[in-house]
Amino acid sequence: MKIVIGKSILENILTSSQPFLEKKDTSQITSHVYLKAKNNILTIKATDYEIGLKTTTDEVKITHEGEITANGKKILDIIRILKDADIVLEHKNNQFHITQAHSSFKLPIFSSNEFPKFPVLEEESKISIDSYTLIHSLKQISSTIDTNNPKFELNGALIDIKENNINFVSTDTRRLAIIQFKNESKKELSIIIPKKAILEIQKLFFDNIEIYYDKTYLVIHSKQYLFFTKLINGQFPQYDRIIPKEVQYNILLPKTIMIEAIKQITTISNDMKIIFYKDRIIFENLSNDNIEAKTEILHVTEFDEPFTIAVNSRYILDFLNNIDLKEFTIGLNQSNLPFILQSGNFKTIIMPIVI
Amino acid sequence: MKIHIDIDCFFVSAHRIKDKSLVSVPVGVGGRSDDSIFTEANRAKFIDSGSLTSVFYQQSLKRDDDLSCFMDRYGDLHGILTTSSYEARAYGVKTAMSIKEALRLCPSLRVIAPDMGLYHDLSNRLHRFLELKIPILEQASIDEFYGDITGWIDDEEIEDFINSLREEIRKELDLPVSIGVANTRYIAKLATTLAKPFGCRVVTALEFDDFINPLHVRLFPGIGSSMMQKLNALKIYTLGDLRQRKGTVCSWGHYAKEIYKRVNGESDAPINSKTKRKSIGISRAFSAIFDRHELRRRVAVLSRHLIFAVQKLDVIPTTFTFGIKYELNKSSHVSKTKLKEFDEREFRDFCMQMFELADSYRRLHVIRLFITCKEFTHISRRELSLLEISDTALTKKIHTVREKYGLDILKWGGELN
Repeated sequence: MKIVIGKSILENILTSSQPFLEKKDTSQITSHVYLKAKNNILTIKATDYEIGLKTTTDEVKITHEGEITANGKKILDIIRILKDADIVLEHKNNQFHITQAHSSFKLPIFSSNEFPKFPVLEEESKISIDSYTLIHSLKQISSTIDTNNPKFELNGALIDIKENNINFVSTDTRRLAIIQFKNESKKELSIIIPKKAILEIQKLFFDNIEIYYDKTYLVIHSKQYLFFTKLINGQFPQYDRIIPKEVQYNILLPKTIMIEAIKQITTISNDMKIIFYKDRIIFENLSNDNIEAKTEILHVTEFDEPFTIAVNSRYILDFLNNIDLKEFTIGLNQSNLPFILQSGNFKTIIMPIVI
Repeated sequence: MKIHIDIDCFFVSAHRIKDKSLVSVPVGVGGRSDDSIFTEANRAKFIDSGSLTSVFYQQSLKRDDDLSCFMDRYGDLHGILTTSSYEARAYGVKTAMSIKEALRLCPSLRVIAPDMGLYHDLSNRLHRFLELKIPILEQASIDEFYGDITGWIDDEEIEDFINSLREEIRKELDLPVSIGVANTRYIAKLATTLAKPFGCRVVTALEFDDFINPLHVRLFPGIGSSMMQKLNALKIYTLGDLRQRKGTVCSWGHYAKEIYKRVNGESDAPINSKTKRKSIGISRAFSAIFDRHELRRRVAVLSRHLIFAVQKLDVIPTTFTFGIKYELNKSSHVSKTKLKEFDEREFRDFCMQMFELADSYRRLHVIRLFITCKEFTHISRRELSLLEISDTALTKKIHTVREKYGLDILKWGGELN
């Protein structure tokens, strides 16, 4: 293989491939990227078996067709240090040569036949969700996904397509985020996408994508990329049970003013008390050692008696940072029971701290 | 100045209030783990007074001859003495001595069964009384109090203050106390030890050296037998010796360094008037049992008592420890975190699960079981899990019924023998 490619094009592709590489063990082929030059198209693949990315570009001049693998991190380090001009990549004497003007680098290679194959899915397993909706919804619920939970299914977000509606759900056991849409298609589906994959999807895709799935994989196509992730195999908790059916008090609140008030308290402590009075809402830190933060906003609520709720403010802020509207509602039942934050079709159910 | 108040042989003194025939004779109060909660005639009562002892007591045992409480059905005596009167101590009777041994030393010893309800009641009354007299008060145990009187009583008036305090307690509650006052709480406690029985001792800064130096190291709270042996091996016998060997003692590590500072009057801890309960547990010892079926039954009984206590305290614990003590000095325990409020059945099943996990010496007889709950949500600030919300309404209703009619009004069927 021998090709000539512009530095910035190659650097961009390699940078977006980095999260897909095995970083620790450089003796694994998964620490390598796979390059293939054929029919005037350069294909670069990276995968750690769990998650993978294939990028294609035609902005390349191919002298000899062929395929090769080399350590993905090393190649990027070298490309970054080179000047902004064309770079020659070549497979010579069983080594990977990178040359530009007077500089040359050689890297060891592995047999490119051993590079893991990407999953191939059937055409009929396409998910028919509007791409913007999918990406935007996954972004909104991604902060609520748990990390390192021994129950693997909680380390991902659920896409649950039922007869009448599509639900995007995630939970870290102390809160649960859910976005609900009306369903147009008839097909039912329930898959759990790992958190890491969701974070990468946010970086790679904006619109115009096609999504396929089977029991093991989710695959996303766009013009430039092919992305795949293994799905999490498990039973997601029955989220319908967690969402309170009835709410005793519903209060419409302004987003910006709430964020300001909460942020003042978080300089002292993340755990705070929110006390609803008839005509105002008071925010106070929870800690009891000689330190205090307190602020209030004037707002008419429907409470005759003061109503107190203690909560980790991060959960409220995560919700507020992910909504587009200027107002949201808080739905309260009792101080020790879960409450609901809602904006449009996006809901977060939060477990308060019982004090 | 810090003040330390200690009731003289509290349990004996408590019984003497009710039974004047016990005055001026050798008396010992016995103690035995109360395993009667496992039998049907149980009338256990829950007491939460904030003092630092366990919380379930049998209502006072009414027997003509208290000694029979410590006798098994073969006529053998079991149990130890938790307290003995000064008259008994003259015979060489000591706390924690077996009842058998004590009776051998002092055949005229009157052995009485403990009445925890009475002690808690008196301890609470004394606490309330002292709160009126001392602005910052800390209850260190059922019969011990620390206070801070700095700026409250002038140094010249301390002597009069504690003397009249001692007399007032005698008059109001009929309890003999000893009182020590010094610059730090540790020296104050030492002063009380030396003032006993029914005495007062103030250690001013001027008298400090004369007071401390001649005392034997064994008298200092915090110096146990192992440290004493170590000190004696180096010919350190008195606290004065210890104070002169700073380098040696401080080289033994963190604890020894701290003890040195305490002896020297340099280390002190503030009087903490607001000690919050941080855990609740139940523990029972019994004659060795091998039968796992019977042990599981006992776990059910313990779990029922414990969830009652948890509800009574109105807390939600999130960390649970289950421990087992076996014969041959073996023991094992497991700890689990559960971010949920249990209903009674779930809690029983959970305790059973922990028992199975903790029971690691299945060939051995068990002599003690304990369950502890801690990390209350209002202290740890942890949220419970959204995914494990149980309906505790029934458990709460049952609690109300039990509060009215007693803990045993509702039991698990499996608890019956």
